[in-house]
Amino acid sequence: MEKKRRRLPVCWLGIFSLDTGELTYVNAGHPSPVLCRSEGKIDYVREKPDFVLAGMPGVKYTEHILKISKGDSLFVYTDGVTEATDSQKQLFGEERLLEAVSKTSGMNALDSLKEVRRQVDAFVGEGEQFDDITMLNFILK
Amino acid sequence: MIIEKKTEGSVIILHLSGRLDSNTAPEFEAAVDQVLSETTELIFDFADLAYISSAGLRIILKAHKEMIKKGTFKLKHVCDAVMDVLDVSGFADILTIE
Repeated sequence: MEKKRRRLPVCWLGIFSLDTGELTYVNAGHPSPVLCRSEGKIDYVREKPDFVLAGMPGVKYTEHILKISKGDSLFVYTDGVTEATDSQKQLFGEERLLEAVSKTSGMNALDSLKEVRRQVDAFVGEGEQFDDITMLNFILK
Repeated sequence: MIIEKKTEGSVIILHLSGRLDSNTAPEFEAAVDQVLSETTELIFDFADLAYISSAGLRIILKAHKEMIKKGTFKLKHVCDAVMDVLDVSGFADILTIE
């Protein structure tokens, strides 16, 4: 019988304006996305996340604005990526993810996701996957 | 994962050792469900908890929502790795963590 899985809903929602180049977003308990600047700078978008979606009544969610320029990309992923676990119970983690994403520089979105997935799989090896792995790469051309 | 229950006067402390993930969450949830009706002062002692996943967070939220109606609920001795998860999920803002 399949194990009953109850989870906390999290959400990262962004609206990008082509006119202003501004990405307006909110983060309800979601892992921080990776922002790659066209000049090669890469890091997590580290605003303080708000509480998980609909976790408690009356929680306010903060709007943030990020300027995106031509050639920049934003990599959004679920915690099944950073919490992918190898047979020694080691987590893939943020450091490995940052390095994996940095290796996708110059690729199109689909290839970049396949490459990150390949690196996650290589790390996990024989370990069991127990959470979904979902990734999105937004590249401004 | 090992769950130890301690009672100190009117306070119930659940001490966890190991990893609280989707494999161990059902066992912890059963222990929490049992104590929720027994106390108005609940503490989770995470001194020996190495890892928590969203399955564990959900149980913390359940305990928080129940205890907010009738008493106090605290987390104690949270290690850095677990604290990171509480921070990134916004849980650190709503919980009492000592």
